[in-house]
Amino acid sequence: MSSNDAWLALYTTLKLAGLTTVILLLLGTPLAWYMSKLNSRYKVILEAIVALPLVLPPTVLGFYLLILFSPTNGPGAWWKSITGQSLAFSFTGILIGSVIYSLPFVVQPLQKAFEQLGDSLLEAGAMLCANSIDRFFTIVLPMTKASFITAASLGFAHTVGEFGVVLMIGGNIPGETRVLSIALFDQVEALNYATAHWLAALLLIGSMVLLALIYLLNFNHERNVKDRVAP
Amino acid sequence: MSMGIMKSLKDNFDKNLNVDIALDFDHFNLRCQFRFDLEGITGILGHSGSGKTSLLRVIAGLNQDAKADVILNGRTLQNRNNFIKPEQRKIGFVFQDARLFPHLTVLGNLNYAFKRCKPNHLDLEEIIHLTQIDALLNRDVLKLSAGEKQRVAIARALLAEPELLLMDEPLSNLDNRARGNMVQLLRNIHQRLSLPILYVSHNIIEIQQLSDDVMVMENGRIIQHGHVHQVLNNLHERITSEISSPTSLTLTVKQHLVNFGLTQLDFIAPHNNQVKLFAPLMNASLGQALRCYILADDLSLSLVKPEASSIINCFCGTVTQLHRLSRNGMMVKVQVMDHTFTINTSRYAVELLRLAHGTEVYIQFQADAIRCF
Repeated sequence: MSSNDAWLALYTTLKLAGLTTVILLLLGTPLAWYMSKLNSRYKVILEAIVALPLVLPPTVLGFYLLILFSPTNGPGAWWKSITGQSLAFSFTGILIGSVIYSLPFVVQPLQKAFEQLGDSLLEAGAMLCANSIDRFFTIVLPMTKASFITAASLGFAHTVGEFGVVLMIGGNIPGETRVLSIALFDQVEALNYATAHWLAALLLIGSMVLLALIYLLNFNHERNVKDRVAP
Repeated sequence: MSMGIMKSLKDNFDKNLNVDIALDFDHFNLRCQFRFDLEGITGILGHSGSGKTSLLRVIAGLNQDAKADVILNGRTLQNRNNFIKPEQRKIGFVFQDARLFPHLTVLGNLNYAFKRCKPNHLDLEEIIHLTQIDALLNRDVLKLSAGEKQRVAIARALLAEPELLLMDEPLSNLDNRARGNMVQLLRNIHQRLSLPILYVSHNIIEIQQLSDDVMVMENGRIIQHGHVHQVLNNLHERITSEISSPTSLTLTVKQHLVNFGLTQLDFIAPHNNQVKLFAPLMNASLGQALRCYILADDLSLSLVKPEASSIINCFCGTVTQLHRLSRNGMMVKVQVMDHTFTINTSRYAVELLRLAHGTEVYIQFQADAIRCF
């Protein structure tokens, strides 16, 4: 494996994780908001579905997605008919897989933050002529900023660490679906330990730095919350 | 112009609030139907859990489940088919817990309302001055005292320029002294802006000092509604069983006896010029009307006119009502001209003086029994 290939794998990984995070923030925020306001017994079913990727072996998820993405089946065939490309073994395919796989890591912190925020400040905003979208951007967003950063970082980091789903539905196409974790697996299979060390260290250090940043942020945020709750 | 059109025009220009609510909770049902002219401050008095807050929330539009008709100044805010969102109702709300935005400074909180309010008739500086928060503008809202927080919350609500201001126990977290200042401040605000206010409290003194009209709520229903003196001096038994009601009076300043530290007051319509009322020296101009109250425990009764007594306020009245408060405590109502006084005394004293309906008695009390914020 040339260093060019390694950089390409890194690029694919970052592109996948970045796009997944953006999509998850756009989809996950309304979903988390809806779930935080839901007051029904069916809420637990929705919560279980969102949390499923936490416990399900990635290969199980990957297997079902592979079947759905196959050009002979409904969604895959539909995708092929409008784009002319197969969904399986494509970047779009692993992007969809990553979004589903990392969903709980974005939705759960946001849902918890929205529930903690409660309605009282939003009611105050409404009585000051702010409509719901205005209230979201001027009250909810600034008050839950830390949770958004946590959610985005966790979603990003978890996508970087993804392996099983990508392997099942993406295969190992350089520049398209070969991400760092797959490249590492490849190198180990080929007994190419020098490169494997290099890739592993990259993933290890990158993840460490990201997690340290999240926890530092959470620590500061929690201290802030404590100050605010008991001034 | 026909009478019908005249009437509908008049309805449009009259400021009034029309409410008809049916709202069921697990523990009680709120059933309110009233219509009243919006002028001055209307106090809503009741025990906690009597439905006062729920009523305000329905009027504000914060309870979407309520089956209600709400019409403010001829504008339908809510009925069977329509629901105007709270942000479009032009109603202000001051919450018990202030609910300032913690991510903004004091000025940031004020600007939040000021920027969103379309007509902008009010002057930001003036409201800041009126609510006495000039010194707080750049402070973090979390570092304010309870009284400061409420002043900012009131300023913020005023800056949204509502047609009606709802206040839900805004002073309940304040100590007595701060409460007195706030009552003064609310009176000034009301005088300056002539903004109608619905003021909810379980504190009878606050209600007495602030309101022009009073509604009494009990178990989700309005059981009394009328002028403050009339309602408070004849409070329903279900309320007085827990809240001891003071005598509520409006008195005018006759003269100041500065050397003695006293102010002589008059009843508004003195039928009998013999009655002299003395209160501690008050900071008020001659002829000014003062809303005063006398606690029922500060009054005592005598069958004969006490001559040469150190108790300087004394006048004659007739017992109109005797009511047992507790095992040994009695409440006596005494009519003096057209004022009703409420006196707490013991069952022993009532039997000793053989008090009964129609008995002539002398009410006596010290100058400092006459209180006002």
